[in-house]
Amino acid sequence: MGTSIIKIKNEHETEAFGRKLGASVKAGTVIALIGDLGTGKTTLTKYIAAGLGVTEQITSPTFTIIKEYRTGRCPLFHFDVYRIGDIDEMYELGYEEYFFGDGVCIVEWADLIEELIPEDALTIRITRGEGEEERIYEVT
Amino acid sequence: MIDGKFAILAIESSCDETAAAVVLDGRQVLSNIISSQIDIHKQYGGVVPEIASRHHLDNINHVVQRAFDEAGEKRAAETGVPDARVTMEDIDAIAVTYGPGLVGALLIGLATAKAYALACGKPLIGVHHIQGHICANFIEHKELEPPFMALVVSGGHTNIVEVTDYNECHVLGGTRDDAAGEAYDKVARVLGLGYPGGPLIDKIARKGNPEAVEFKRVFLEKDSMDFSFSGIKTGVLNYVNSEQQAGREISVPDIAASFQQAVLDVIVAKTVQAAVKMKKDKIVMAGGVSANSKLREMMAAECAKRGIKLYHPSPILCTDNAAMIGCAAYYKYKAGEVDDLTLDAIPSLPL
Amino acid sequence: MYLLAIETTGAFASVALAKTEIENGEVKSFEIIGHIDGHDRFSHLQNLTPQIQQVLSENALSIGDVSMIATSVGPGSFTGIRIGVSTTRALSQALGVPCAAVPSLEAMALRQIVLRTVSDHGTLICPIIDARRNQIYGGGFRAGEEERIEETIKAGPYMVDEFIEKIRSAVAEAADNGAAFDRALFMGDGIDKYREQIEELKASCGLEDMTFAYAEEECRYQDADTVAMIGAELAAAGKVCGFEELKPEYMRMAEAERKLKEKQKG
Repeated sequence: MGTSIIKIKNEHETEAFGRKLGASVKAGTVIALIGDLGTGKTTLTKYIAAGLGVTEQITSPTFTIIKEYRTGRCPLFHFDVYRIGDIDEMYELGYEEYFFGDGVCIVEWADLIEELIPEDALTIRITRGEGEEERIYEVT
Repeated sequence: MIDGKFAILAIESSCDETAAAVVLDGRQVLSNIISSQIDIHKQYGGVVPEIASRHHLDNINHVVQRAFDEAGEKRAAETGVPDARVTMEDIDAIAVTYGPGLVGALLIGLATAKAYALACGKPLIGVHHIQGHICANFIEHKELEPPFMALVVSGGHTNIVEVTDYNECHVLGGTRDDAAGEAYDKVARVLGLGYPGGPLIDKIARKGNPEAVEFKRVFLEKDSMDFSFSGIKTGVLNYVNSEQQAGREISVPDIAASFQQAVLDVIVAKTVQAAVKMKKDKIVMAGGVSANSKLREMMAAECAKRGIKLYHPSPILCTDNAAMIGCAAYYKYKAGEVDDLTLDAIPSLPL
Repeated sequence: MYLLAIETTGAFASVALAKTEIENGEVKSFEIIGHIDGHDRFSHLQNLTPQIQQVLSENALSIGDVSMIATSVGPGSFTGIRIGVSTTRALSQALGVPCAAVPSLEAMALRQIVLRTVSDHGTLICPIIDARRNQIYGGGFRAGEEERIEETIKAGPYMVDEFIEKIRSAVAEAADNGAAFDRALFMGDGIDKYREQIEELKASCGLEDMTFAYAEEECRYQDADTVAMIGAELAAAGKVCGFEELKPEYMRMAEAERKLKEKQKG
């Protein structure tokens, strides 16, 4: 699997990228989002969800860790593992049933649980660009 | 029945905490056990159990037993009967949070509650977690009755809810991205303050100047009762980054105070506006962030100006707990709203 | 006494009620008097407690008549196990009755004997439960005396090819000891997913001449009846516990180990 670098100028481009990804992603895929606070992981997730056809409001799962959305063409499981203490906790949450189930999983802060991310996951590393609104997506 | 009052055993396991409580007639708390707050030095039966966050399956039975034990102790103290106990036999109904929350956590509470209900042959009452938070105020303020406007602010929720009756409410607004408590935690991280961020920012902000930095107050469209806090989180981040890049030292108390002012200005304004618009003369606060001293201060000031009465729970009742669930369940029971044993966990349960 | 059995490790939850007499460390009598099968896939949380209520009321009994609870603790569906174990712990705590932890794979193997799809000692009974990612929870058993079973391949988490290799070596060892296996009988939802792969591996690891049979749909999956039977045996042997000791048996393969095995294969 190769790496592509995508330069994002502003939120409109994030939207275009996200919607396109959401429309084409296969059920059973894990999308790993890696990037610091404020780089727009949840924003990108909103647009991927829109591409998947989810009609519900996507809000940050930082506290609940997992939020489930079932209005899209397949279930969407939105993870934020920021508050996870150790790998065992992920197991206790039943992560296997989500990652290897019938929906699409988007995992924010995936680098915190690197060893659990499947080999064939789609990884997007987000870094800031020059301007405040700019981002760089490194997609593997 | 316990001493002539309707006794509910309540269970809450929607996210981090495993909690159980015994509540009488909806508003009298005999015990309120929360897993993370169990004094691990207080020996129970000679064995100190491992209490870990979100280890609901391991925690729940012990937490329930504690709730019974402490209820018994309180009953003994209050009635003067030294060996007074509270057991499953004394319980008239089992209450449990069935949503919203983490499904793997909810299911432990729900499976346990259903089994108890079957075992003692008593009704099962499912409760919405946010409804529980609102009801925490009925425990704190015995004379409080609906209708009123409620503000629920925590790490996971930010909602303005119109409460027209004990079992009737309408969500008027919610967050479109981050919850208020979450914004506090993330900003605290950016400022190097540690966890949990809310209380730490509240404390350090008192030493800072809330007008030092102008952070954008996000009100969204005209008359919207929704919230959006991810922008201010980004605003703080960008400010800190640019100051550091320019080689200037940042004042943590000033930034904390300015951030807090920006967030609370919006929360207070929208809540009060909602109360005025819907002609409510009472505002009730709930959820972890309602323990924030600055929020209480600002709300109190705005409410005083308009002759609105303000209510909020004591700190222990602001966090996730089961007593509030017991209270909510009591009013559901009185209205005949009882569930059956097919009750399912609903992670995105709407209010 | 009345024994309640709970099975939630598969797609369908089932409960059974048994009437049993245990004396001097032996099961003197045992009869299944009630049985409820779930019909909704993975709806354990919704249906388990109502099913328990139903099996009791159908026999004009109440929950207070139950003296013991036997529960299938895993391996299998992670969520299913948690629902079964939580429900059992809570019932046990509220009623003050003991629990017995029954291994799901053993209960599945015993089912073949009870249903008479196996009536001799020459069958290697292999229950396999899908654990995703080319992994299964599997075990190998042989019929013993009087509706008992003996474990021949240790129940545990395996890569599919690893398990077939275990079968090959168990078969070879049995042949050396003069107690040969002439066929292997598979059951469990692992068949649904890995049957083709198993057939391929069978050919490539030198077991071409051995018969691999696959349980028919109606006897393929978990069921509470054999959980009740094993529960009674455990009670007779004094192997019961209080609610605090009843724990899930996820048979989780450590992540590092799993990745290593995946790499070795690929």
